Amino acid sequence: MALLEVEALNVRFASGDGPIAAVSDVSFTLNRGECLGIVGESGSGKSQTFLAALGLTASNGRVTGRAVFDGQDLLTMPAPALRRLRGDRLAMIFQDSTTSLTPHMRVGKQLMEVLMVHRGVSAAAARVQVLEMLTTVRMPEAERRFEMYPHEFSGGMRQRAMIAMGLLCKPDVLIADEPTTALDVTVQAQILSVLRSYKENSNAALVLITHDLGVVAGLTDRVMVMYGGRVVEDASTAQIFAAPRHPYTAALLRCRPSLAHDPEQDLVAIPGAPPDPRRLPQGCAFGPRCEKAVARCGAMPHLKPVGPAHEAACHLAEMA
Amino acid sequence: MTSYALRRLLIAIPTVFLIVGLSFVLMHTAPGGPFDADAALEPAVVANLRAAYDLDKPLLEQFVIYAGRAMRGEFGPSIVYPDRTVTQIIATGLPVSLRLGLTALTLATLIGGTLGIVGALKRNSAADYAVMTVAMTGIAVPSFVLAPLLTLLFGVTLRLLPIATLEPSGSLARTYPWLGPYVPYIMPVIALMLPQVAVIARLSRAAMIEVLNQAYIRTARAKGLTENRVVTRHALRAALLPVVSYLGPAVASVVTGAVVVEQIFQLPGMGRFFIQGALNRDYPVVLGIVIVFAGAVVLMNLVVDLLYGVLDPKVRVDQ
Repeated sequence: MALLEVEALNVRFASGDGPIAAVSDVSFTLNRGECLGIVGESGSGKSQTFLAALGLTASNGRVTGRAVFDGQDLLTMPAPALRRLRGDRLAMIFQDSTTSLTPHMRVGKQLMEVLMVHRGVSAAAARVQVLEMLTTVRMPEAERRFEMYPHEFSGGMRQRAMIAMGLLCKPDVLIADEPTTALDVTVQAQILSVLRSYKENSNAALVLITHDLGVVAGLTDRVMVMYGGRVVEDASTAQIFAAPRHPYTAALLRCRPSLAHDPEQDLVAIPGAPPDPRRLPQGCAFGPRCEKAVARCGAMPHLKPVGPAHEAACHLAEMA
Repeated sequence: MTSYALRRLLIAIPTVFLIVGLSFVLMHTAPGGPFDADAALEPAVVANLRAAYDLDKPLLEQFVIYAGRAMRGEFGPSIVYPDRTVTQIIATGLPVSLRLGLTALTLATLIGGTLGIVGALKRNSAADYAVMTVAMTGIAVPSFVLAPLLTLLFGVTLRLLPIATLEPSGSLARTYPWLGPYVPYIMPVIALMLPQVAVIARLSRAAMIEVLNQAYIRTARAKGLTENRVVTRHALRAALLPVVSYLGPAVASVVTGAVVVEQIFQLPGMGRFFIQGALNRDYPVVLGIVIVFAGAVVLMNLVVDLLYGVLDPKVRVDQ
């Protein structure tokens, strides 16, 4: 049975000029031991999908659909029950750890809190476990860092502390939202290896939200590409890279600079800008930027199988 | 921390010196003098009196003489009431003013802070609108309007509280005799406090709303903490920073407000002596009180800076 099953998830925000469709009709399943990559530009709804599942949508947002975790719908369960799952069996770690850690609380204490709330352990026991976890995520001088404040950490150390926070209760689902953005390449590699080793040494599912296709290629088993709040392609990582079926996925892949790239030539960019979620175009949201767009693209394409374990939301992929 | 505090106190000395100098010049440039109050005196008598108080000397020399004595702690006798020294006047007025000012400021911080935070947590609810109404009223109605209205309601109509006296009259003091020493302060404290409650409620509400939108609050919720813990452990401190930094200016406005409020309620605090002194051109009394007021504001600003370090590790000094 799937560990997490999201069905027809919609997230709408009220705003001054009309509702914002942040997430539309997103459905997917996540299995134990699986690493799912969520790829898309900023505002494509990738973070909002998981914030909604955890009940962390901002107060002006409305969430509909189902998100069944271990047999219970997260969207309808009572708030205290969902709260007990958060940080324990369902952990989410955030991008930009500069603003995601409480500035006036010692990092050690912020980590201990998780264990004290979910496991009811004493402060002394929590301290021991936190120090162990900090060592696991290869925090240098863990004992000393434990007593420090977030602003005394480097970006990489903050991200490590954040990951340690997510791993403390050995979650069944770990959602990492852009865990390596804004980090040096060497630090990125270290962070990814921490995530990889958790995935390999546990039976948990890992969700990696990112716009970095390199990160996706190195770690994930399956990739879901999102655009304009919808899933436009869902396939194994190998399939996505070898045979993308959605023109947006293909365009993203073309944008990657490679070592073979001729430095005299301009880098490839997708023309146009990501759609305004308040004014999504009729039909396929990528239509206005798609070089292959045809008249039919004015009607909304739905996610349909286009190959073994491969789905895409594109009229052209269906016809091929 | 101690050396920082000492350094700050040393910097405060020139500040107070400057304030006293400015007050000195302003007082002496104001027309009139201490001796033209009631009965007209013989010019020769006035000249003798002026000489006795060094008022015939050039202004700068007078200031040097005054400053020299003040630094030795001698603020001299009052010119208009020569049987009382300025120190004695301050000693009688200060306890009354401190009781009034500190009570008003403490209550304003507690009440204003609580109201603001409740408003922020129950945003756009009936409670929030009630808080904002109180805040708007407090800002719109100055102490000198509120004070007579309070007197009319609680003093004249309900006969609950004493009017313009330190005597514990009124039905409240009769019913609860132990309240006796406090009843004369109730209306002055309310009148002095309400504008500050309003400002602090608005500040803390806005700050709390902003803090609750921070990414680290989302992290705290994602950890599965109770909303209670999220607010008290992760949001509250940052939300209190603007309130703490307002306490410096708040002392200044409480001091000026107290001058008016003490006058209206006839409380024998420093504010009343200050006004009498200013009207009588009683230079030493006015300057002595100015030094105390300036000291209070400077001291509070130092306390605010030190509190800031306690609340926000990023501005912690000496580490």
